[in-house]
Formats: sequence, structure tokens, C-alpha cells
Amino acid sequence: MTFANCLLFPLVLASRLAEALRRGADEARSSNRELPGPLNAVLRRVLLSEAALIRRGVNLPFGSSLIVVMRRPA
Amino acid sequence: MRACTLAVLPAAARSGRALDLGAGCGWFVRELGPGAHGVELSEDAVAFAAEAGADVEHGRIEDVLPAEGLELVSCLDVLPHREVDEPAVLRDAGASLAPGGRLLLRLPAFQRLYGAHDRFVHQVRRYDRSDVPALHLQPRMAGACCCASPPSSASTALTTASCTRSAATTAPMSPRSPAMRGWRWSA
Repeated sequence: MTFANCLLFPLVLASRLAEALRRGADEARSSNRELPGPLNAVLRRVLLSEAALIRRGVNLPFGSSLIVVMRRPA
Repeated sequence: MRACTLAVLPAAARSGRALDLGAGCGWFVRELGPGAHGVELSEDAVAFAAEAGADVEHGRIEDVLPAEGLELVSCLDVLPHREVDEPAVLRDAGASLAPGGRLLLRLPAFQRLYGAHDRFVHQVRRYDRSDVPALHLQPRMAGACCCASPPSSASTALTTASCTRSAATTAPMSPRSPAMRGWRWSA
């Protein structure tokens, strides 16, 4: 079990806090945005670096997603 | 996120018979290769997947579960969808796995982050770390283990070391049920 989107989590947190302050509690709105290419490339590199950590067996302690693998006993 | 999701699977787990639940446009099916199949509710997404060469059929999750002898069942950001019966999906996905098969879940984290985007994509909840043991207690997944599963020879050891339980309870229950007291987490 590991979290993912850990390094960018402060940005996610700030975004959700700002949303909570300025919007109604029951609004439904996508937070997906098309970003400028260079910024997108930077964010992609951040996620790829997280993936490298996970491949090495690091369990990231927090993040916006939780990834779980369950294995059926052999 | 694609890279992070794939990173938890050892290479051997990506090449066998696999089923992706709520496969969307089929990116994960494509990553897994020719042994993988997906099911998706959105006809538009299925059409896009077909154009991209991914084997994704149109239908509901309950149309394809339970299956037999799968080495991997994946459910990426789908389990909390309002149309998904979580206990039934976990039960049937577990029953569909061959011995040693893996169930891969990607879940939105931290209920306190629940907001407008979750409502927009019809998610009814997010998950905290403490919610995960209850997922193991669904029927037929009882006794299964949880792991970060790095693709190395250490993965087997991590599988058994990262999550153990002392109680023999198998019924589904709340994460905060007294029966959860037998669980220990080392990861």
C-alpha cells in the first residue's frame, strides 16, 4: 500500500482549501485543467520521480491517491 | 499517475490474464498488453479505446464478474463511484483471481479532501489508510495480503510482512468495527 501524488500534495491541499472557502458545499465541478506544455512537463517529471521511488519499494506516506495491491494466497 | 500505478506491479504481474474494471479509454489495458481485457460503462470511452487498439468491451462491472483464473484484476479510481457496489465488486473480483493473483486498487485518498471534483465524477467517498483493512475483510479476499509490491525479489517477503491479522473473521464490516483490532500494519 502506498500513497501517490505525494510531492504535489501540498498544491492539492491548497487547492481544496481554497475551493472550500469560496464555493458552495454541494457544487460539482471538475478540477481538471489543460496546462501549458512546459508546466505539464515539469509536473510529469515530478510524478515520474515518485514512480521511481515506488518501484524501489518506497511507501509514500501521503498523497491524493492510495494504491493498494492485495494478493490471493497461492 | 499511470507510472505510479504501474510501479506497484512486478513485471510478471503485467503479462498474464488481466481484467480492468471501469477501463475508461483503455490506457491501462494497453499498458498490460494482449492478455488484458477491460469493461467500461461509457460508450464514448469504449469507442476511443477501440480506436487506440485496447480490448475494452461496453458493459457494467457485474456483467463480467465473477470471472475465473485471472492473474490481475484492476480497479482504478472506480470503486467509490456511485454506480459501483463496493462489497460485491471486491467479493467477485477476489473470487475471479487465480491463486497468487493480484487485486490492484487505486483510490482517491483522504475523506477530508472530498469536494467539487469528487461530486463531478460521481464519487461518493474518498479513502483513508484506516479504511483499507476493511477491504481485505470482504468475503473471498479474506486472508489476502496487502503490499506495495516493488518488482523485485523482495516483493514476496513484503507481501506477507506488510499486513497481517490475528483474527479469523471473514464477514464484511466497518473499518472501525471491533473485529478490526486484530489487524497490524507495518507499512
